[in-house]
Amino acid sequence: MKDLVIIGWGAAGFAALIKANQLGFKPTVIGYGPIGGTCVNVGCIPSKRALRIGELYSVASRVLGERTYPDFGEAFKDVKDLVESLRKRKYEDVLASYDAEVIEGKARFVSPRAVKVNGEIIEARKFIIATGSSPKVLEIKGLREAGFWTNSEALYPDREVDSLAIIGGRAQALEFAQMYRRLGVDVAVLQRSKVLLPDWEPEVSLLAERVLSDEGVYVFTNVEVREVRRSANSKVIVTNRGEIEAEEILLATGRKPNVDLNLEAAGVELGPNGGVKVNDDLSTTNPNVYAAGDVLGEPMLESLAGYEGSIAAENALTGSRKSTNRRLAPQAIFTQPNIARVGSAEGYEVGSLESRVIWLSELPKASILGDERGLVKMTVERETKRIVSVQMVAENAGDVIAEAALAIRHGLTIDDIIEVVHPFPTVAESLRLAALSFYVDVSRLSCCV
Amino acid sequence: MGGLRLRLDKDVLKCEYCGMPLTEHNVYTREIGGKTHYFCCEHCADAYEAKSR
Repeated sequence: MKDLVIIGWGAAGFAALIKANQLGFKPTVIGYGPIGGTCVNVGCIPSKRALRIGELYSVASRVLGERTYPDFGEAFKDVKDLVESLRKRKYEDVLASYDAEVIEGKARFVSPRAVKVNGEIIEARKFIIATGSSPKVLEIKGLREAGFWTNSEALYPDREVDSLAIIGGRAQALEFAQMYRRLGVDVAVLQRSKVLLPDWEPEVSLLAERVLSDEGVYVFTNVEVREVRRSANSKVIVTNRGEIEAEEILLATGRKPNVDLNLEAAGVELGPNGGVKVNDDLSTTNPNVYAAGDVLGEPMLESLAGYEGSIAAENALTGSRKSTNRRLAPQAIFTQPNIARVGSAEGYEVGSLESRVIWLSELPKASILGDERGLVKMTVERETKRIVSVQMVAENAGDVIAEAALAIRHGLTIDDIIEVVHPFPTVAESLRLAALSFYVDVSRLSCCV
Repeated sequence: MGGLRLRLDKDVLKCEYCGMPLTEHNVYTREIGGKTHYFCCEHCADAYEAKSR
């Protein structure tokens, strides 16, 4: 019998493997598909590289005073090269340096303590399910017949397209909209809700729409897609507000947990969000089976998956029962400017919180960068002034939000932020300005107050 | 090959009480009956909520 079987070789699976080795255990890792899972192959790495290429050309366009675009094919070749390089360095080479039994294949549970893979039964004392997620495909009349892209095809396009209609209006849709627009493609975003990013602060949602619109992305909200059909050289999307015709359709309507593992045989239940149901220590309804990462459902974040993979391995192998808190995971959307958040007002009584918004036009660094679009919205407990959540739109907000994550994790107040000298001029200073805004009108402050 | 052909009405987000167009500078939301509603200010939200009771 094995000590530990890890199912999945993405971010969570790798973190679990590394932690198991650090604790002196040799795990068995079972996986299929490209090693490294979503992030390095069809997620963060290729999408952020493609966005970076667009950023460089956007800056060049501003300098030259005329719109210039990268070569479509060259841009995606660059993306592919980086993926291959990082997959080798961060996954294949790393895997070779650790002590693990690696099996390529699809595992399915056959009992509470055994899985079957490639016809072989493998028994173990503990399991970690880290099988990640896949694109969620909506049931729309005619969509499958007409054909569509998911993030996978959009990151490795088989041809250059002139126009793209994106169905969805959350993180993935926003990133692909800017990415393709900056490759010179005509882009439209069709969002079912009244705003983009409907579960974010409304100021962020509306600014996100403006950021995309400023670049020439057509954003349509409150749109219900009813049917898709092919025409000669394009695809027609029929909605409640009219029709749109584009060369290709990108379905960016979220991801679903990969739970096709015959979990019933293991006594592992699913939660209401369709992901594996876990306790705070990441154990499932079978105490010998743990789960980590995207397979738990939203939020699906690379950084969270890695963190949970490590905790799951430690808890499974040592019984340490370390707990996790998914609500404290910062999230970032890597458009330019970035959109980022951490924390949540959920669970607080109405009236127990207060919020302030500061605009980046008050931040000298934003003026230096030449883009004053942006904001920071900070929410605190009215009584204690403890920071509860921060949402921001700003250059490099994906980096800056880490300070807010630390503050929330440790129960810090706005006074703690104010008392820390922030480097000037930086975007990080915007958090201090947001904290100061609870006491003063920041538009009446000189630099570095 | 071709560009986008748009035959769609664009929805403009407006205050659900007074009809004022909303931007990131004036948007205000409130959960009413488990749904997020969009307003231009707290007063409109109060008025909307009072009317819908």
